[in-house]
Amino acid sequence: MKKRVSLHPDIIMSIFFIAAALLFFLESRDLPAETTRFPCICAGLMAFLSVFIMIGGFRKMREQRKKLAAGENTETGDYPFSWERIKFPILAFAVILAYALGIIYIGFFVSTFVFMMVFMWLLRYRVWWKMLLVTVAMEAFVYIVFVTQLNLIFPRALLF
Amino acid sequence: MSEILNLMWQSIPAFIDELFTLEMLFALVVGIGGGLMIGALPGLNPAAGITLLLPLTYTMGSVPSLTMLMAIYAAGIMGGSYSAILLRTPGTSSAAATVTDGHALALRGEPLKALETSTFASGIGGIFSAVALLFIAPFLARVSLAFDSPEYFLLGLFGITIIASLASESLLKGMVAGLFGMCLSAVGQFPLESTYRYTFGIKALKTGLNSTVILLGLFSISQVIIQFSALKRDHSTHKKVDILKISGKGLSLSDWKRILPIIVVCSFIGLYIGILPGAGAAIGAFVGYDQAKRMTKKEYKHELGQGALEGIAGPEAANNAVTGGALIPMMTLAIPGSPVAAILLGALQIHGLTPGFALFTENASETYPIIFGFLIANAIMIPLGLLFARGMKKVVDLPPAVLYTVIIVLVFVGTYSISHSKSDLIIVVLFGLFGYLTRTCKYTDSGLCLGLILGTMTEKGLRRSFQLCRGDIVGYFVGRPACVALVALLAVVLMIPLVRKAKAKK
Repeated sequence: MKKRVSLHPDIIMSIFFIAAALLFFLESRDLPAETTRFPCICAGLMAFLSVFIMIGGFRKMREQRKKLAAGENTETGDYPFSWERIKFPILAFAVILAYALGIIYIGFFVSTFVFMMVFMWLLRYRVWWKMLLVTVAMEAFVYIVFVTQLNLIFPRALLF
Repeated sequence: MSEILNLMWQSIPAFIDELFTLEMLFALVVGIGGGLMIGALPGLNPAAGITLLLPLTYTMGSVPSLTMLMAIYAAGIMGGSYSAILLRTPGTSSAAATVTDGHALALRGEPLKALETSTFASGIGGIFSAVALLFIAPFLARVSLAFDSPEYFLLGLFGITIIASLASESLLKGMVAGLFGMCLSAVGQFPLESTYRYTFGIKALKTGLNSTVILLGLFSISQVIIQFSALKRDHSTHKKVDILKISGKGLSLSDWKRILPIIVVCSFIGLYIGILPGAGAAIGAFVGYDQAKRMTKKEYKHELGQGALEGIAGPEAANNAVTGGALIPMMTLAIPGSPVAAILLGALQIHGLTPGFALFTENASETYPIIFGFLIANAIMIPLGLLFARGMKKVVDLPPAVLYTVIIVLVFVGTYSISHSKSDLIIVVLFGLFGYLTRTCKYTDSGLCLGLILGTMTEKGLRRSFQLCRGDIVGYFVGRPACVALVALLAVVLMIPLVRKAKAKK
């Protein structure tokens, strides 16, 4: 099977920044000119410079292709978006995002309990009594310091 | 000059009163203890520690708040050397230069001597830089008196350019990150007017993006995501760490004679490197090590690389002297000397303090006590550091799984406590992912953070310049000598990477 060169991360990030610049320009259309001058300059420059980074990304891809054709090993640290490398960061992000949603819709203390147990377990920490102890201690610390002393009221949710 | 010295003198009683308050003692203990711990733990750095504790300072006064954050900065740099000496793993990049001689000396059976050398050199370097900050900053701040709107606009651009050119691997990527930060600073209400802009139809964005929330995402959550992936891949990280026992003799009088001149010279070097924007503590440490090598007496030259005291004292004095040095351009001209100083600039603004001459005159009652606090923190760091080193085993034995889980909970508690906004909980996660992506793709997150912090100042400068220029914006800028000087500086900074590239090709 023919091995393909994946899209260089510089190209992916440049697309993100150019898209962000376009969003800023689109949003500027209905705003008074004075309020958009500075953000538009920044967004324009950002898009302009991103084009150069993107061209550099394509150049790097071409070099990779040449190396591949010559039978060289193309494994470099340049491609952080392969599934093998991105799966764990995605997992971490998903769990952290679920925790944030849990705080909003379920409640802080219940979500924190579940999150702490799951996150430690995912990180291969399996000393159950220590996991429980740390979780309970953390909840107690937040309750005593932030809720009772600093009067922090967490979002009202399904449970608490 | 006498006016400045008078203000400094007058602030001493206020500082002494403040020093013995519970809040200040808490700030010093948490700042130094937390900093040492964060510095000693490989994978965490002072930037992550400062952002983590930033929300806590919202309920505190400006003096204890800034003292605590600056103490984390200084103690974090010092703590990094402890793991370098006892574990052969630098806790922070600034301790990389200490590894060779520090660990070799510890292996030779003199870990106490290595730790004492590192502690005293760091403490003295830090004290020296705090004194320099106290005396140099107010006078340098006078320069800012010549500045008006156009200069502040150029300073904003200068700020992101230096971080972009020195802290990032690619000037273009650094600039893009900084410009994106400036775009984000525009989200919300237009300064001094009631127009809302760039809210993209999202109600929560009307109040703008909170810089602390973004910093927490960029520095703390992204760091946990990176460490999470590393831990999942590397099964060996849960192994017990082999830490050397602290034994042997401490520093003798003859040892002091060997290292003291090096500490003094390297403190000067560190201070100078700290003032240079973007250079940072790691560069300071390596330059300090190089200087220490040169200053080592002939009879000890053979020890270099095998546990020479000079090889520990030089980099440690220099990297801690960088801390105060980096705060000088930050407090006077709003140009941070290092990525951590960029976060501290944000903290300063959160507490209603604006860099410039007014900071040392109108806000003298707060500014000088903050610098005195930084000085005291550096002094207290010496005994606390030695105590901490003895308990290092317990800290490095802390399972990373527990540590990173606790950090995430603290990030959410901190984020929510800032403005009690549910949407901030989502924003912090999104910026965590964004921070991870920018780091892995070698964009600088400190550039983005600086763009965000300096965005409003830069925009106000540009807006007022347009109002004052009477239609001739170029003529207005060219007609101001300070502007011409800043443009020339900008050109030099932009040229540095190109010159470096050309040299590397040769």
